[in-house]
Amino acid sequence: MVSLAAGTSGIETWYVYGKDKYKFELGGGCTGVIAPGLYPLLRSGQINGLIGGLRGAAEYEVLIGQKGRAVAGMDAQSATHFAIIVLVILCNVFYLLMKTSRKQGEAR
Amino acid sequence: MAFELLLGAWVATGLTLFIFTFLYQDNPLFKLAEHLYVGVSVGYTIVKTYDTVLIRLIYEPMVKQGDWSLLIPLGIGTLMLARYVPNVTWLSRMAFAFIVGVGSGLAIPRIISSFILKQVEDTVRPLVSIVQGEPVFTYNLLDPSSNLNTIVLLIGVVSVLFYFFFSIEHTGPVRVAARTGILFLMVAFGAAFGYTVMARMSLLIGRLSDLIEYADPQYGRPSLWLGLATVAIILLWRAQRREQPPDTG
Repeated sequence: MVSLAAGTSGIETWYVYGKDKYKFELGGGCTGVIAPGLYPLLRSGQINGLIGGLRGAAEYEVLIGQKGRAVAGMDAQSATHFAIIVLVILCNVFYLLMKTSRKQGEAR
Repeated sequence: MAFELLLGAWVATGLTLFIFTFLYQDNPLFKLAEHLYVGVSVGYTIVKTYDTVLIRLIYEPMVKQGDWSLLIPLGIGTLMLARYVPNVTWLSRMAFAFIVGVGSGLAIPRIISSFILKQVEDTVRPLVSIVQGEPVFTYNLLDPSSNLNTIVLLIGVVSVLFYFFFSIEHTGPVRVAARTGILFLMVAFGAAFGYTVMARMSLLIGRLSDLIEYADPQYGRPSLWLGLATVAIILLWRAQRREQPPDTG
């Protein structure tokens, strides 16, 4: 079975009270927030597959050869992530420069 | 186009734009959308619970199928409501004890099996693979099942456990292990936060995709007209607030 439920009674619940006891195949799709918590289950083979967030949905669409809304949304998401990474790097550079100039000011 | 689709498009567009007005300031349009959201979600939950639990799990099995043994769990559940009657509050303790006991008995063995034993089994993997009778050590960091990743995983788990072991002082080699654990925790939390950012961005992309779709003439251009109406209402509200200063008494 594939669990696409959001919220509390999702993949973890299906695994704990379902697959672990009754031994059936289990895959799932979840939001990006929950996905990191489920990767240990995927790595250990406790679940057969995981679609995590928009990226996971885009990977699935590419896998089955039916590109749709998820692949279409990846352009915007990649651009946003790139912008966030650039801003994080810039802010860290500014922070280090300010810290260095403050230390030089104190040394004088 | 069907009336329901048109109505759905206009309502979705309007509520999305009302929520976005919070980016400017808290305002009556945002409050309207917020209260609608809370009210509709609570109402939906009540109706869903009534249908799923009361009708399908209690009424139909008892009355239509004659399973009167359900009176026992129904009685235990009703006893919980005794909490609200001061003279018989003690009756609710029996119901809580039963529910907590059964819940713990069901949950604890399953969770220990799923999240502790299975994860320990996966953590303690062979450090060397046997391929055609020869020991092979695989280096590919991108492959979760490689032997190098097994070592990284083992170091991560042990060092993080060292960090959370507060019964001994973190000095000398224990401090090195604990510091390594902190590094692993920082990487893990950073990755989790990155996924959270990705999830929020994808929600925004979904909302904006709908706004773009509903700007189409076949829907009556709700994005355009409701966008203009929202801006006009916010400007009017701001002007009204300036004319009537808030009460200070």
